Amino acid sequence: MGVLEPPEFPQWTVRRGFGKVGGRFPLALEAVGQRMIAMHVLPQVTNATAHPRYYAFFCWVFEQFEQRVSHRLQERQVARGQRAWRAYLEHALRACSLANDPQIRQLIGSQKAVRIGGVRRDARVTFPSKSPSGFDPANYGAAFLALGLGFRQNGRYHLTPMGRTLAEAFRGDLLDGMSRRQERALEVLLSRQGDLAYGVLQDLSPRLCIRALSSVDREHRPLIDMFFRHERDEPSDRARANGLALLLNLVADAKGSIATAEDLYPLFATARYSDGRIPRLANKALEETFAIWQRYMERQSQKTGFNALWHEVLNLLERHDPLAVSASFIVEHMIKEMESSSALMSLIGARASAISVSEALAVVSAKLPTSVHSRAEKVLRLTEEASDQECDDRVGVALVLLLTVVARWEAESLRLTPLHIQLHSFEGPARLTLPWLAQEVRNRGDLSLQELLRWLVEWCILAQSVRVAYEKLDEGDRFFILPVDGGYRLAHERQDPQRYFAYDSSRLRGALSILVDLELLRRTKNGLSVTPLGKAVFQNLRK
Amino acid sequence: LLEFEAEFDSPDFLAEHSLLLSYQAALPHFERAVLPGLQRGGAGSVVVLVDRADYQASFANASAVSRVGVDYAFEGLKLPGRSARFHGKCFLLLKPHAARLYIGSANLTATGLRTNLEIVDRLTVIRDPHRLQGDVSVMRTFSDLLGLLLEVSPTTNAAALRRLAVAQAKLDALLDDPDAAVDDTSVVLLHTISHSLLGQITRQIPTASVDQITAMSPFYDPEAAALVELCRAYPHAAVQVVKGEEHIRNLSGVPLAQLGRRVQVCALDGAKSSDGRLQSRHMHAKAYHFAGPHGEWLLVGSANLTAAAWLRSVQRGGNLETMTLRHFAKNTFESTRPTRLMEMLRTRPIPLSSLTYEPEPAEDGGDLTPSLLIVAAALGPRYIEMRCQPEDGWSTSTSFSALLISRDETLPALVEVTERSPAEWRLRIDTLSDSVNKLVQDEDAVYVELHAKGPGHHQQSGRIWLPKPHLLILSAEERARRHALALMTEEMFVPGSQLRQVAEWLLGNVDILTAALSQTIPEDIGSGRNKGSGGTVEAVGPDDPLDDDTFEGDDGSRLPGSERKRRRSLARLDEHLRVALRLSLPMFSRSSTSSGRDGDVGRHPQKDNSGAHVAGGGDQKGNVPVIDDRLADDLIRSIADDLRQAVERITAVQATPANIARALNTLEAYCVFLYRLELHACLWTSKARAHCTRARQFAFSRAFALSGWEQGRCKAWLVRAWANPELHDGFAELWQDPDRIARLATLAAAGALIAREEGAGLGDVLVGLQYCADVRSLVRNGDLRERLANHAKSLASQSGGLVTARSILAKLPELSLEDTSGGIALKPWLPFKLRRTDGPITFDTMTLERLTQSDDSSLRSRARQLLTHVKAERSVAFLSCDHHIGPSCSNCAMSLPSLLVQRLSHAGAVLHQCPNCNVPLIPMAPDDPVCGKLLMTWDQSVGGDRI
Repeated sequence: MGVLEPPEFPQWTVRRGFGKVGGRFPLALEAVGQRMIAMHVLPQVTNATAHPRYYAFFCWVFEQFEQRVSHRLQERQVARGQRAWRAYLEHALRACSLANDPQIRQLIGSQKAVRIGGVRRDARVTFPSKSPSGFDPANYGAAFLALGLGFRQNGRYHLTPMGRTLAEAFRGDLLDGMSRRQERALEVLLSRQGDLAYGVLQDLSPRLCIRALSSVDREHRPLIDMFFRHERDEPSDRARANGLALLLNLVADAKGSIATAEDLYPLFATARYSDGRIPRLANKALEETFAIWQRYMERQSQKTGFNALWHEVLNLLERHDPLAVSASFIVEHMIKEMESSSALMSLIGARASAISVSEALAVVSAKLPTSVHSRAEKVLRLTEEASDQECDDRVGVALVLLLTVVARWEAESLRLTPLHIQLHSFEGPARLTLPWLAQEVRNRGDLSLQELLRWLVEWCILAQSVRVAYEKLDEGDRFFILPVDGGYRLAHERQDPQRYFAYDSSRLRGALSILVDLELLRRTKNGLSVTPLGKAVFQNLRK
Repeated sequence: LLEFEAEFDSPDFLAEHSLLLSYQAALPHFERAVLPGLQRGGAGSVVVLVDRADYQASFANASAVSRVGVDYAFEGLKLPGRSARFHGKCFLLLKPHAARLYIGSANLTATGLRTNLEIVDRLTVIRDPHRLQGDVSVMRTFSDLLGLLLEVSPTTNAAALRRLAVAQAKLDALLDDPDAAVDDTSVVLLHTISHSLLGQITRQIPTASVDQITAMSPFYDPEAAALVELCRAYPHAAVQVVKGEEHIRNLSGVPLAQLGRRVQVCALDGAKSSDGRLQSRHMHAKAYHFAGPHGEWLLVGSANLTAAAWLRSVQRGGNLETMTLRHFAKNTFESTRPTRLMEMLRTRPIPLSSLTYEPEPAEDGGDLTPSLLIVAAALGPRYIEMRCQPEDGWSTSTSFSALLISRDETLPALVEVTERSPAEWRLRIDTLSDSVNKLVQDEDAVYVELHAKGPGHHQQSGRIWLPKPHLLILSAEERARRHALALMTEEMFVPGSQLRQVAEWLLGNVDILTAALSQTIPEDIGSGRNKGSGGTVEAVGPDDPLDDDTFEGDDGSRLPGSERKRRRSLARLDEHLRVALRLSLPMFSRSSTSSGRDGDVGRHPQKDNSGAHVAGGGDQKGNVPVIDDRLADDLIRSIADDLRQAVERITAVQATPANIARALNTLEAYCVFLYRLELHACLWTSKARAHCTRARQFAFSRAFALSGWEQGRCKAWLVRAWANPELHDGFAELWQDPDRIARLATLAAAGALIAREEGAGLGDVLVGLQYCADVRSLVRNGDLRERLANHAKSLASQSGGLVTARSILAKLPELSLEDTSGGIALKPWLPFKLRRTDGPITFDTMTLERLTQSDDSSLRSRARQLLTHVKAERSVAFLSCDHHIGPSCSNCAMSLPSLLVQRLSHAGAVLHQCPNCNVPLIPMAPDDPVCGKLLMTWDQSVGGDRI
C-alpha cells in the first residue's frame, strides 16, 4: 500500500446519471424546414397565435395601464405593476371568453381559468396565482413586438402608433352599445379596488372575450392592415402578407378541396390539387412563396428518409432491450433488410447489393418521371410509404427515398435560385441538409450500396443522435439511444413515431385560424371557402 | 465512493501527460467530459490507446467527434492472437514530480465513467525534493508492462508504439531514483502478457489459505471454464459468484452444478450510494475477494471471469488484462478491509438451474474490423503515407480510392501505390491540392476511408483517424488561446444583418484576420521566410509564424500578388472559421445564456422574426457550463497581453511601405478582437478587464495618439509614418476604404465607452486618425456618416446592451481638422472646458497637465506657465497654419514672423505670446515630423518656401 494514499482504495465508483432522457428531435433535422416557413413565409405567425383579437386586447391592456395605473406608481414599480395589470386583465379575459364560448380552442391558460358560469353574482373571484400568459414570447408576446405594436423599455411595454390605434379600436368595440350595467362592471374591473365579484365578469363576458372578428368590428381593419401590410420596408411584412395571401388564393382556387392544413401538404409537394388541376396563382410574389413551400416539402421527404432509418434503429434496440446492441450489429441488420428489400429490388433489380452508388443513382434518375409534377408525386408517395407505421420494407423504402430525393435534387437544383438553395443549406452538415447529402452521396459514387447504407446508419443516425445529445445539452442528458459499453441501448422508452414522422412545424394551422378569425375564410361542410371580405382583401393585395 | 470522472479534472493533480489504456473509449463523451480536465496545464499531452476492434467501432460516432488527432492521439492496439483483446483499463496521469495510475474495470466510456458499478484502484508516486515515495514498485511494473506491450504488438500502428515508448520514458524518468523509499509490497500489479492470471494468483495466494472466494464479473464463458478452473485451483474454498441482473443469461448453470454446493450464484440487486440509498446499477466491476484464516486478498481490474482473461497469457492468445492485488493481514484496520466494499452491495441468490448462456447482440454482431487493416497513417509535408495489410490472396491488380472525411466535408482523394507486397501495401495521398491541404491542416478531426477493389467486384475497406502532428504538439495553454481566439471570431459571425457586415469585411480582408489569429508577429519582418522559389510557394503550416511574405505580394502590396497565395489565405480563413464553428464547449461559454429548444443543434442564440429563440446553447433550464473564472481571467489577460505585445513589435520597427500596410491591417484586426475581449471581460466582470482596456488604449495610442508632438516626440507610429514625406504616396492608398476609417473610429469610441474613459485619450487618438486618413471631420463627412452609424449599430449589438449606437456616435467629437492646430485633442467633456477664441470648439488641457509632469525641466516649466494662464484666462492661441496667411496666431489671425515660429518650436522655459493679442501661443516643433508635415502641407499648398 502506498504511503501517500489513504487506505480506502480500491473503491466503487459513484453513480452520476445522465439526467433526463427523451426529448423531441433526436436528429435535429427540424430547424431547416421550420426556418424556411418562419423566415420566408409566415413570420410572426405561429400555431400558438391563432386568435388575432389577442393583439388588440394586449394593446388595450397597455393603454389602460398608462391611463389608469402608471401615474400612481413609482418609477421602479412600473414594470412590475404593468406585468401584474396584464396578468389581472388576462385572467378576466380568460374567464369571460370561456363563459362566452365554452368550446373555444387555443385560449391560453384555459385549464386554469376561473369558470364563471352558474356561480352566484356576488361571490368573490379568486384568480389563480400562476397561469400561463398569452403574452409569453412563445405565445403572442414575441409576435406583438415583431409586428410593431409595441416596444419594451426598462422592462415596460409601450405602444407604437399602430398599437395605440388597435387599443382604441378594441376600446371602441368594448364600449359600443354597452349597457349601463356593463359599463359599471367594466369600471369596477378597471378600477381594481377590492375583490372582484363574479357578477362583474358575467356582465362583461359577451364583450371582453376572445372571438372571431367581423368587418363591423373596429379592430378588424387595423388587424387586417397589420397582417397584410406592405408599406413598411420589412421583408418579414412582405413575406407574411404573401404567405397569408397565398392561402387565400389557394383556398379560393381549390374549389372546396382544402379543409385543413394537412390538405395543403400534397398540394405544395406536387403543385396539383387532388383533382389534378394546377394551382393558378395571382402574381409572381405568390409563385415565389409557393416555391418556398415546395422546398419545405422536399426537406420533409429527405427528413422522412432519415427518420425511417431512425425508426428501424429504435425497433432493433427495443427488441434487444435492455441489452446493448453494437453499431456493427445494427449495420449488419440494416444491410440484411436492404438486401431483402422489394422496393429496392423493383427499382434496381436483383443486383442491388453489388451495384455502386453512382450506378444506383443513374438508375433512379433514369426511372424518375420526366415531368416535374410526376417526380414530386413519386417522392411524396415514397415519403408516405416510409413513414407508414405498417411498412415492413422500411429500410429499402428509406434508401430508395433518399436516392430519389438526391437524384431529384441533382436534376432540379440547377434551376433553383440561390435563395432556394440557401433555404436548404441552413447549418449544412450539422443538419444533414439536402445539398450536403447530395454532395456526400456523389462523393461515394464508387462505393457499393451497402457502404452507402453503412455510412447513412453510422453517420446520419447513430453519430448524429449522439452529437445532437451532446451539443444540445452539454451535460449529456437527453439521449434517445444511450451509447454504452459495446454498443447502444434505448435510453428510456422508445420515442413515439408520431414525433419524428410528423412534418416540421409549418404554422399553417395558426395561419388558417387567423384568416378564419378575421372572417377572410369560412369553414364549411365542404372545406374552407373564401368570404367576400377575403376576396376583397385579396383583390386589394393583388393591386 | 470514488467520483471517477472527476479524478481527471482534479485541481490537486493537474496532469501534463496522460496515457489512457482502455478496451473501449466513447470519444464523444471523452472529448467533452474528460479531455478538458486533462488539458488544463503544461503540455496537455493526451494519448488514448484502445483495442483495435473498438478503434474501428469509434467510426460509428465519427460525426460526434472533433478533437481526435488534433488535441489528443488516439490509436488502436492489436494483440497477436486472432481473438485476443487488449482489455486492460489503466489510466496514467503524469506531472513533473508525481504520477497517478488508475487500474480498474471502467472503460473510457460514458457508462464506464458515470453510471456503471465499477471498481477502481488508485496508485500514486510523488517525488519530493529528496526522494521518491508511494507505490513505486507498482509503477515500475507498469513501466515494464509498457515495454512488453511494445514487444508483443508488432502489428500495432507505429505511432501508437511510439507514444507508448514516450510514456514509458517519461514514467521511467520520474521513477529513476535508486534510493526510492521501499514501498509497501502488499499491493502488486498483475498483467497477463507472459503468464496467465490464474497462474499468478495461485502463486500469490496459497491455495490452502483460502476458504471463501467472492467473484464479481459481468461476463463469462459459454462453458464457465474460468470459473471451473478457479474452483479447482482453490478446492477448499466456497465460491460466491455475483453477477449483474441484466446479464442473467450469460452464465451456464450446467458446469457449475457439477461442482456441487461449493458454488453459489447471486444477482446484484443494487449498491448503496454515498447517502446510504440503494441504487440499481449496471454491474461492470470485476473484483475477486479471497478470504482465509490468515488474511484477505482483493483482486480488482479488467479481467472478467473468462478463459481469455484468466487462463491464457497474451503470448498464448489470451487477452491483456491488468489487475491490482492487495493483501490485507488479519490485523488490518477494519475500515480498510475489503468487507467494507462487499457490505455496500445487496445480492440475492439465483438457482443454478435457471442459469443459461446466450450470446449478447453486441458480442455476436458483425465484426467491425474491416478486411483491409490500415496499420498506420502519417501526415507528411506533401503526402499522407499509409501502410495496409490486405486479406490473404488478394491480387496485385487492386485499385484504390480514398475519402478524407471530417465533420464538415468529405473529399475524394487519389491514392498512389508506392510499394506493394503480399503482406503489406504502402500507399500515399497527395495533400498539395488546396482543398485537401485545408482539410488536413484544419483543426478538426479527419479520418481516411480507404477502399480497395479487386477482381470480380470484391471490395475491402478500412478506416483510420489521421493524427495531425502540428496540432498534437501544442501545449494546453496554446490550445486554450487558439480556441478563445477562434471563439471570438465565431461570435462576430452570428447571423444578423449588422454582424454580417463585419463578417463580410473579414472575408474581404482575409489577411488581417489570419495575421491576427496567428498570435505571433515575427520581429524579423521582411526576412523572406516562406518565399517560394521558381514560382512555387512552400506550404505554410498553421503553426508557422506568419510574416509579410505570407500575405503580401513580392511587391509589398497589401493583398498577395500571387493568386495562389491569396487562395491559401482564404483557405486559412475558412479553416479558422470552421474551427470556430466546431467549438461546442467554448472556453467562454458563459455568454450563451439563452435557453435552447429541442431540434436545435446550432450554438448561436438566434431569433426568428417573431422574436422567439429558435436555437441556442445550454439546456432547457438555461443551464450553461460554468467555466473556471480564474482560467478565463488568465486567458483574457494572456490574450490581451499577446495582442499588446504584437502591436508593440509591429510599431517598433522602422516604417516602410510594406510594413505600414501590414501594421495597419493587423492593428485593425486586433482592435476588433480587443473590443470583443473587452466586452467579454466587462460582461463577466472579469478581473482581467483592465488588461483589455490597457491593451486597447495602447493599440490605438501607439498608432494614432498625437500626444507628445509638442515635445517633438510623437510616439504614434502611424502618425509618424504619415508625416514622413517618403511614405506619403503609399500611405494615402491605405486609407482609400472609408469603412476602415469608420470602423476604427467607432471601435475607439465604443471601447472608451465600455471602459468609461474620461479624458483626452480618445480625442487624441481620433484626431490622429483624422490626420492619417486625411479626413477633415469624422461626423461631418457625408461619406462617413452612414458608415459610422452602421458600425456603431454593429458594435452596439455585439455589446449585449452595454453601449448604444447613439452613445458611440456621441463619443465622436465634432471636430474638424480646420478647427485644430497641431492636433491637440479637443473634447467637450474634459475637466477644463476652454473656449477657443477663434472658434466655437472647446478643448482640453490634459496635454498640458501631462507636460507638467515631464522629465524635461524646461518643458515642465513652460507647460506650468501655460496651464496657469489658460486656467486663469480661459484662452489660448495656437500656431495656426492658414493656407492664405501662413503660420499665424489662431486667436487674432496675425501672421507670425518666421523667427517667432522657429522660437516657438524650440523647447525652452519662455512662454511665447502672440505679439498682437498677447495670448500665449502653444508652440510647435518643426523638426517633429507631425508639425513638419503640417507646415509642409501649408507650404505646398501656397507654393511658398518651407519654414
